[in-house]
Amino acid sequence: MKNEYLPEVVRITAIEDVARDVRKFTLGTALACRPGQFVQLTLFGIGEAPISVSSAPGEELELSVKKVGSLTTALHRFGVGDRVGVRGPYGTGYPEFGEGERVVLVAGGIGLAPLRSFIRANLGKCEMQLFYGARTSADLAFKEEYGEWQKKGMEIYKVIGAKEEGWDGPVGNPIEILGPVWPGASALMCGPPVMINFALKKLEEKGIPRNRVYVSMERLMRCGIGKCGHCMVDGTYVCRNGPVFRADSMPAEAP
Amino acid sequence: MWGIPKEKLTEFAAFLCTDYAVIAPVKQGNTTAFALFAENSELFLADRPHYGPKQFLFTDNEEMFRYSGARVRYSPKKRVKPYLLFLARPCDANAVEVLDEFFLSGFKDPYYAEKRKDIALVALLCASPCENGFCHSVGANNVEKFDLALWESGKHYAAMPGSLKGDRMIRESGLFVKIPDSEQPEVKGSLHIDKDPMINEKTLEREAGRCFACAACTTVCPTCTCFEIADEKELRGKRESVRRRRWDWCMSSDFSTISGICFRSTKKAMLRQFINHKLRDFKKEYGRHMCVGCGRCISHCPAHISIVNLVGRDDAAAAERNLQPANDKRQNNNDKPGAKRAKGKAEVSK
Repeated sequence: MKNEYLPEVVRITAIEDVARDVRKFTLGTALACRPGQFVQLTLFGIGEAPISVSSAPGEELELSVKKVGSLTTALHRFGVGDRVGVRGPYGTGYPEFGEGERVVLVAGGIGLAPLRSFIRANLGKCEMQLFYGARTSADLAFKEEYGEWQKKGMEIYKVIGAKEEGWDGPVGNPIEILGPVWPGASALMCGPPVMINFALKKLEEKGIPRNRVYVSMERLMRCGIGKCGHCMVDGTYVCRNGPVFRADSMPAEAP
Repeated sequence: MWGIPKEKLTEFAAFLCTDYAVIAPVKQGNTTAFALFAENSELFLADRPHYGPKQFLFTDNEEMFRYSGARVRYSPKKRVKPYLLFLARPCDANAVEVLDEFFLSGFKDPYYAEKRKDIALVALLCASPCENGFCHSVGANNVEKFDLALWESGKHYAAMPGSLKGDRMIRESGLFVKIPDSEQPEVKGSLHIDKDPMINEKTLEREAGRCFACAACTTVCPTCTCFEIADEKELRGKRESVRRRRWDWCMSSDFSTISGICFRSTKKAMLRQFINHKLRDFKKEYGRHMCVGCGRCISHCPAHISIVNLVGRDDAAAAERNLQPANDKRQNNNDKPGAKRAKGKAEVSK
């Protein structure tokens, strides 16, 4: 019987800073991941956490991790050649879209990490718009790649939270820049819960109903495979039934 | 039919120890629990024991693997003999079936499966209802799969084998005698809930005010399966560590978080999750309730909150059966203790 709890030991092969406090770790393994799925990352002796995949299928596994808690802070001290553990991929991914289909991406902060996987897998295949907001310009992730994405036909709209020297773009939150959204398109979303709630309303006004919007949910998970119970919301396991949910069937709980 | 004189039961347990590691209900000081049967063990037969046998199959603080020298190793403890669950009441026998459904489906749990393998069951059917039990309401007052079933019949326990193993136990122990035929009892619990119970929100609102969020209910529950995973560094070497999992529960206010922020911190929401998982969600997936109606959560609750009163009853009836909520400050301030336990973590849901 396969022991699904045992991580594969892999080495970090490359590290790159992709935003303030966000590092992209390339791991010496290529798992068959679909965009939107996650892996369980182990730092031996420290712990394990679910991390979304930000590489495209077939590429070397890349995880983009923001320094927020004790495990992610510890990871930021890791260097090339250090060993970590990986198991997965787990969860549902984003749905697949056909040639030329229009997909609107809405991201907040590090929420762009799983969407990057989708972007890399669908550049030149789907028509994509990205609406991306971050607290400051330093928090906008994967800046170096925007040029290539735009060259391949993607529209990118950026917004930051407060005025800043040298920033001539809009200031506010991602909801305020959703004006040019393609009506009738599908949408993928990942970001803080507040952003998601408001963006869903705005998208509906703009002609993208909830049954065409797919949202990445986040919950503390310990096992990632529907056993530990931590991510259960109203009878649904976020790890197993999600983390990507269609917006009209997202689980929610009464207070 | 076969029967065993009541006073021979301890001898029977000792006989079974030759082939099995016998998990039996025994007295332990002032309490009763399932424990490995040993020579000086005193069997407890009056009622279901205070604690179920879950610990033996889904073990608290269990080692998941060791990491050393860049390798991950899981080496289960070698057990010479398979387990035998001895004198399990229908509730506890059904609890093992529930654990089977959960741990052996989907991603199979190797830790559970290893201990569960080749387990034998000698069930003790109940002759009279126990306090706080509602086993019949959730279809757990009888046992379908067993190796041997016993029930009281005068000065004997009548015995019915359910497998070749059970048949061999009767023949080889030499402790069984022929007794007059006796009907297998099918007891009803002392309490009752609906077949598909629904939470009564009004009652929940009131009762949750007394809850301490002490998690006694989920701790003693023979079917609660949630766990926490944590790594420990080994002192022997810097690069060695061990991963363990320990029991965890939805009745703890920091069980459900997003980036350290609790999203289920009120007593009401925690109780709702507990009850819905037991009596609604599990059945959708596995076709049976996750609750076996043993009533331990009721017996152990220091706040006298009863799952039976929280589901499917109209408010007046529930109030009549229940202790009136104590007229103390906790009533108005019911979320504070849980919030404190979350150690400074912000609360989103109030």
